[in-house]
Amino acid sequence: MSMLRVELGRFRSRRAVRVFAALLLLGVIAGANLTFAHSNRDFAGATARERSHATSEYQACLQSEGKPAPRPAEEPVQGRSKSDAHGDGTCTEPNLSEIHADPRFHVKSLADVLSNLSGSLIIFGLALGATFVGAEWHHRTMTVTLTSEPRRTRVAIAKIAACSVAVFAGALALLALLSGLLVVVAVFRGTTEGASTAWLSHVVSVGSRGAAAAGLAAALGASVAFVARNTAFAMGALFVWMSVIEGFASHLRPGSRAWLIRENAAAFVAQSADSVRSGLASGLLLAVYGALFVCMAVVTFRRRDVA
Amino acid sequence: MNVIEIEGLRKEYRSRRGRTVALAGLDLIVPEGGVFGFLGPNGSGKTTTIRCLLGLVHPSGGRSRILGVDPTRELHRVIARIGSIVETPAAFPTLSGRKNLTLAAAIDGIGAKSVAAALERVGLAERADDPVKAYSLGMRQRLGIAAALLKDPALVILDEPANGLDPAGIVEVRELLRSLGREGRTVFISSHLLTEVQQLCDRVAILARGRCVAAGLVHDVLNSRHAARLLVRVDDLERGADALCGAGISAAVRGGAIIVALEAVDAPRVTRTLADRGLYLSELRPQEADLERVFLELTRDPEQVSP
Repeated sequence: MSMLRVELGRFRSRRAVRVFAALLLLGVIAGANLTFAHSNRDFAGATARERSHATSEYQACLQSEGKPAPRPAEEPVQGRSKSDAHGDGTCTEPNLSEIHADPRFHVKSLADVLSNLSGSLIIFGLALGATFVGAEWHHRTMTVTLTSEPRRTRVAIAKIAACSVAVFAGALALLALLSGLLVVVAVFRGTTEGASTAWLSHVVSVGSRGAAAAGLAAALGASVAFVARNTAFAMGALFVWMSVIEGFASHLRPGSRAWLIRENAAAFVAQSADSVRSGLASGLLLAVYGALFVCMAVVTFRRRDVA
Repeated sequence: MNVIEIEGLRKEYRSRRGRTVALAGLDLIVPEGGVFGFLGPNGSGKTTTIRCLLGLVHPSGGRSRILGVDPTRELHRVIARIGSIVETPAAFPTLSGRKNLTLAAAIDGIGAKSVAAALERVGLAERADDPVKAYSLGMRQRLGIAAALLKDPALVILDEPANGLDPAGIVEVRELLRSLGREGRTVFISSHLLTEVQQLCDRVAILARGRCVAAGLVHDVLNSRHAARLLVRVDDLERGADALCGAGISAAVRGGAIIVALEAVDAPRVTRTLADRGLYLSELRPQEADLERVFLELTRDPEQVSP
């Protein structure tokens, strides 16, 4: 535990960690402010703007040599015009009476917001894990650590656990802060309709899973950096794996999607109907992957010489 | 008691270019107390030996013990009594010297007072709160020495401790290392600065091509390789040398003096011979042995074995 405490202190003192944390904090505050600015209860004004926008789109469609579609045409989505909706040069006139705008921020959409933000937190987690361990190799402070604690398994596990725990805690705090700010927006400028115990439990669950996924991503980043001994190489390898290899794999062999890290991370956090697995199964699979990466890092670290 | 015992230590590095033998069966014993100099040309295996002793690299063969334990298995039992610098001291450049030391000290549970004392001892107290990136090489070296002294170690292992220091810094470090030796600690330093080692160390070992070619008290090592010689100066060096050779004394003009292959007790023979030829001495003294000469002689000769 003392080693974990030491590594947590080391993690906190890193400039990259502070910069990332500041960026995320600014992002969260800016996001909440934007939501506050856009959310309001002026239904009439918002509806008028929507209708005017739909009419302008329709006029623009006609002016670009389109022809009016015969009524009744295909029902416009949510009452808005679908300019050139048929793709054959015809324009559908919007049914303005069906256009109703709701400019309020709905607190019941908070879980979706947290779920979307978790994607960014996972990327930050990967980067932080990779840079934390990569910097130790770059500045040769790994050697200094080993001349005080030569048991490499302890060192590796403490470092990986430290960045994982710190990223989990940081992500949880950020998600909690964002939730708090958005609840305030909902109370004063939006609506708290749908807020119930079940809703709260769902929000807490999504936030916790998002933070856990970010913590796991940090462990993956740190583990790869233990093997690569270089931040850039570790991040490059993770990017190639997640974006290129998993991207190709999911397109070429759709059956493999159930085993890909990206798909399982999305399933774990969002738990949507079209997820490749249940949230629990995805979480367990990700935990197994995480454990494999950590084992690989420890074995490599134990076997190789430290320059 | 011996603080370091090495027997037949081997280390080979394998790369695409082939195999490099860094240590080819090194034997070495470092007794407790005093300052021990570890000399050798670049690539002779000094740093590899230190890394093997500190568990940073895995030896390919042989045995070693440090403070009575095998560093490949039980180093953690004695590491708290060993302070070390391996090559150039490593530190996070954006953190202050104090913060770097505090992070290193935390692993051993050492507090702020000891950090401040170590910084004071190496003369870094005034610049302790500056970021390390603003330090000169000499200041980084002092920071490394401070880190090595944090644990109040029984054995201090320093790889090129005078590296990057200005003359005043070299004198300060020399005094510091002497005082450590006087305190009963064993100071093991590797260095290229032969005159420094000659002034500072009680014992030395000289490495060449991964083997120890000489070891023992400085005086013994010097005398083992230095044949007794007298340095003679007269007005006419050529005549003087001819006169001595004519009397059956081996002599040659070298470097503005006559070098005579006799011991100091035979000096009267020289004075008498020269005086008989009407040559009068302006200087006569034993030629002093110096470590540089012995070092060059030993490291040039691959077949030389330890005396």
